[in-house]
Amino acid sequence: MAFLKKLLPGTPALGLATLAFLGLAAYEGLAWSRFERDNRALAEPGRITLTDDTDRELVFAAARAQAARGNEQEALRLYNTVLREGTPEFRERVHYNIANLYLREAAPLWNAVGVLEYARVDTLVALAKESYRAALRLNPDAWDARYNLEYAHRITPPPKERAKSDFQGSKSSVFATMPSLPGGGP
Amino acid sequence: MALMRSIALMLCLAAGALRAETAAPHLELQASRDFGYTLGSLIEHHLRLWLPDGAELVTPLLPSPGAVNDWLDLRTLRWEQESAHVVRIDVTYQVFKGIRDPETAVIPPLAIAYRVGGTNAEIHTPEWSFGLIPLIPPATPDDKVMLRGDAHERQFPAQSAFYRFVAFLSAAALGVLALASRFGLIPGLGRRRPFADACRRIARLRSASPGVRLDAGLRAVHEALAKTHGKPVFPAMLDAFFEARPVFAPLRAEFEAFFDASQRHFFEPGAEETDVSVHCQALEGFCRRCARLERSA
Repeated sequence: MAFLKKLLPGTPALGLATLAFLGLAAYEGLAWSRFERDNRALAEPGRITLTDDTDRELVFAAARAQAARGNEQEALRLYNTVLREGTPEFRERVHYNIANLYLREAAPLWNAVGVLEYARVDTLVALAKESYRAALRLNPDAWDARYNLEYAHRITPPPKERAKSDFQGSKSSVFATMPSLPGGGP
Repeated sequence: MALMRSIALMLCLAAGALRAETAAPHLELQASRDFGYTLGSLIEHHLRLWLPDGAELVTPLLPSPGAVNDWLDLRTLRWEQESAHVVRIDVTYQVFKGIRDPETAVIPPLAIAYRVGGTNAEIHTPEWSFGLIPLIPPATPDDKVMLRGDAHERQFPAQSAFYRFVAFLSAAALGVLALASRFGLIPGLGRRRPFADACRRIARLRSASPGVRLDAGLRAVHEALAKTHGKPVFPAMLDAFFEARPVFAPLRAEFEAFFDASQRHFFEPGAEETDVSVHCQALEGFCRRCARLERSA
């Protein structure tokens, strides 16, 4: 008992410690209630009201909800507002989802019409590849990004042949290239 | 003599070889494996560079992180002087080569600059080939490949915040309990403080008549003494009481006066002085002093 008595701090120290624990409890209590509220919002991302102070994870959820509704432009806009914020893990997810938006638009075009939509597919795939690379630079173990990036490479249109503006023909006329009548003809 | 000549010759040859070795810088490359890499993999190269006397690495001219070519990034390059002539260089590459079938890729040479005799020179790492394998089965047609889905949002750590909240609240509650018991606010918890209890009982009697107050006050102090000592205390037992609880010894005279007053009040009613309220105040003061000593024990 005497040993326990020695272990216990004096009354002022005990009072201060109690106050400190009360303060920490209040802080964690507030955090807990805020997290609970935000988790409820994450369950219904379509109803998230965005302001300047909205947590980036909620913005991310809202962007994903927009993409699911087919509103890719708005999703891209929202992703770009939080692209440079947060932890590397968060930024990796944002880059990855942006890349998916581009690739999901490019893949059906490529598979349906191929090089007929060359410019559009090429641009979209290039943007997707750049975003996947950014995601992989942040987290080389992002296997989904690796997989999709490999697919983006697969559907990368072959480079267009360069226009032969430097053609130096020696023939004076296109007709000169036509085969002539075989010798010995009538 | 012939043996001595042979040894001298061997020493000369060895020194010559050593001199040749130190005269020309050379590089040794170590890598964990050269197969099984996929798009996105990191490749680590550990280089050891032997420099001749007077040569030093030109660190500002070392390759900086960035794209090496369209499918290879140099991610990090760190160097460390291992000894006067040896520099260790750790290089990390990241592969972004998209392939359909397994293939062999080649990491191009890397130029390492060093300065010797006031002039800059370069030594190149050797080309390094490695096996790269695709993630998507080669036979799968493009239109049959299922893209991996979007990354999901992360839940906020409400549960861990709740646990921390409960832990801190419990600690605060324990602190409050400890403080309350220390001040004797919780009956049955913490140290017993019979004199503190007696003081409270006497204080509650302030509105009573002086006679009743003195009577109850004396009884309360007797009870406190008995609780403190573990048995009733009589004037003859005071020495034993002080021996067992020396903290109360400074109040010995007051204890004796208390027993005198108690004797007069309970057993010699006629001998009691007329101004009972003076006795009451003295008793309350005595009880407070006892309580103070009790707290310091």
